[in-house]
Amino acid sequence: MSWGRRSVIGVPYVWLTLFFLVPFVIVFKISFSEMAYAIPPYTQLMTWADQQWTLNLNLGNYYYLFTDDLYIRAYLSSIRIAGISTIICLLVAYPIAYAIARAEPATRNALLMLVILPSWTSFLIRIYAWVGILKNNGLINNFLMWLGIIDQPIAMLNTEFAVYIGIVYAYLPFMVLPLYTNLMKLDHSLLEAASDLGAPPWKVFFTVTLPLSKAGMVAGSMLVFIPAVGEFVIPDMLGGAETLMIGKVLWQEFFNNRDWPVASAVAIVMLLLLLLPIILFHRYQARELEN
Amino acid sequence: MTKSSQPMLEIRQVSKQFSGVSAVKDVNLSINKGEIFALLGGSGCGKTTLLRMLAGFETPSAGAIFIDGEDISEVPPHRRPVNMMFQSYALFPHMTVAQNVAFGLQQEKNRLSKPEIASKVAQLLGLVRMQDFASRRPEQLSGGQRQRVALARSLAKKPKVLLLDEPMGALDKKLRSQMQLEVVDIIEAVGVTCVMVTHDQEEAMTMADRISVMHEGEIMQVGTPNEIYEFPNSRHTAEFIGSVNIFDATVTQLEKDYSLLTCVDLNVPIQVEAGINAPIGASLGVAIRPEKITMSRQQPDQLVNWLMGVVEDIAYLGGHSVYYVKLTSGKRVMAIGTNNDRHEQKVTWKDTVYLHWSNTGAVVIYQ
Repeated sequence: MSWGRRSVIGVPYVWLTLFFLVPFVIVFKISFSEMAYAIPPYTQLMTWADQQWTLNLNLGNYYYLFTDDLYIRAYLSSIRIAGISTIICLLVAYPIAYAIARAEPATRNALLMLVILPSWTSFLIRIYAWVGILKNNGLINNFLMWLGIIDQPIAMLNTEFAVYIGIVYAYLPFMVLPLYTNLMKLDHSLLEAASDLGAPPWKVFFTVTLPLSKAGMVAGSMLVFIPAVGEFVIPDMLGGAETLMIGKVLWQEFFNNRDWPVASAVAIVMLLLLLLPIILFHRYQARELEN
Repeated sequence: MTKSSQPMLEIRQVSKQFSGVSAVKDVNLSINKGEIFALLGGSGCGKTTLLRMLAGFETPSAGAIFIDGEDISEVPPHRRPVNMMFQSYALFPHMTVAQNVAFGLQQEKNRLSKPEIASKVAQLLGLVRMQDFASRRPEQLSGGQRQRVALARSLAKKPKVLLLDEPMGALDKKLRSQMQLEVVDIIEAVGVTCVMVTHDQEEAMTMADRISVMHEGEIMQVGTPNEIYEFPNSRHTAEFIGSVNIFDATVTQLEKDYSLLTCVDLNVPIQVEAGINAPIGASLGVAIRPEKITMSRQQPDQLVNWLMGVVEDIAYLGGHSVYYVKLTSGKRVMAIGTNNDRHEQKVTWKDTVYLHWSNTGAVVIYQ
């Protein structure tokens, strides 16, 4: 192999090793240590004493996660919230992607731009803007009270409802773009063929368009579901105290309790949980390639 | 094979404009039951637009389309008794061959039962000799196999009119000629009325009972392959179908048995069959197909219908050769010589030759 090829392949490998694998190994290592009032705030795995190395492997952090039901509830509610958000994203994004894919080429680019444009503003600011929209004396409540539809503000901020709005809003482009790419590739003559063979428009959609856009739906769902499970900013800013998500628990363990080992164990378990859909996704992709 | 003359498809004064540009202009056609009819023309001649109006993917800007006496101009594609075989075949990639063929049957209002559909699908796949491939996916098939499946799918609902869009467009040349005859056999076995679109005159002549030559949205001529080839009514048709030599000529003599014309490129008059529909002095075109011309080294002993020139180019095509002969006027004339003797002393470049033809070899063209 030439030097050029080696370096082209090597650079991303080095990057991933340095900034993904090494940190992961560190987190994995910390998850087996014990909390300590020290800097750094955990015990070393390997200690040198009495002329020999001792390995202190502490499985207690993992055991602890299963004894306190807070963690299990947080995992389950994260998966539930991420799952429901993914479904809502899919339902909202599909018509958007479909309309963009079917638009005239000139309008198509403008519409795509509109989907991507919000991402040019800081993520944090956009979520913060939702606080202003959803809070008790925020945009929606003030408007509804001004109209006289309600006389008491509706509590929207600091509810799960607000978290759904935040996640769907923030991750919608990640659903729209793969769906759009997929629907663009859809051969229009297939739709005409289905129609020619007697399928009314709704049936053309369900028998041809929808099954053929499965790859786009799977890709988009993965892009939304996986980061949404570990989402911290949105549940923290919009969900308030009553929304339980694993990202928030992780933050609290790490910064409030300064319990790095348990925080690391939480992160490792979350990764293992997310590995399952990722593996399924890869299997699906491999099968698609085979066909 | 006899065909009834009852019209199955009638196109009456159909026009289509796309944002002000005319794609199809005032087309009138009547297609008989059981007939294979070809719309032939170059790209952009409006043949595909016309076909898409028959399928219902486009609506005519003016005029009406009748199938079996019923006006279907406003009927959406999924309610028309018409099925189409697409140029790309448009087989559903996520379905097996059998599912593709069954798709149309599953859309019917009075749906057949599952075993009935299955037996119908098996029968259709048998018809196109694809019964062994029922559970394959389209991408596992060759081009010719895909075409058979597409044909079976478009025949499944027993359409009143079958539409073929460039049926051989996606096949290589060898397979094409084989499939042309096979597709015709299947269509005739089923007895369905068929309208096909093609830019390939050979394909149209092989497959169709009648051909309509289209040019710039208009129909130039409708007729059997033989009529279109031997009696073209316009310069465009004559040039589009096969090769032709066209001479600009003037009518000089109109007799009971023959007519004479003179041409500046020729030293002797051209004699054609009687019945020219023009007065003496009229300017016409005279079309002579290359295969109607005989080539010799000696001056022919006839007073009409010959010319002299120098061989400028020879295209050896195995079975025959095409000779390009340059006249003193500068005009080039094409002649075909059959290579029926391997040792024959060939006419070669720069040879002076005489080309002659009988008075039934040339045809007069008015426009």
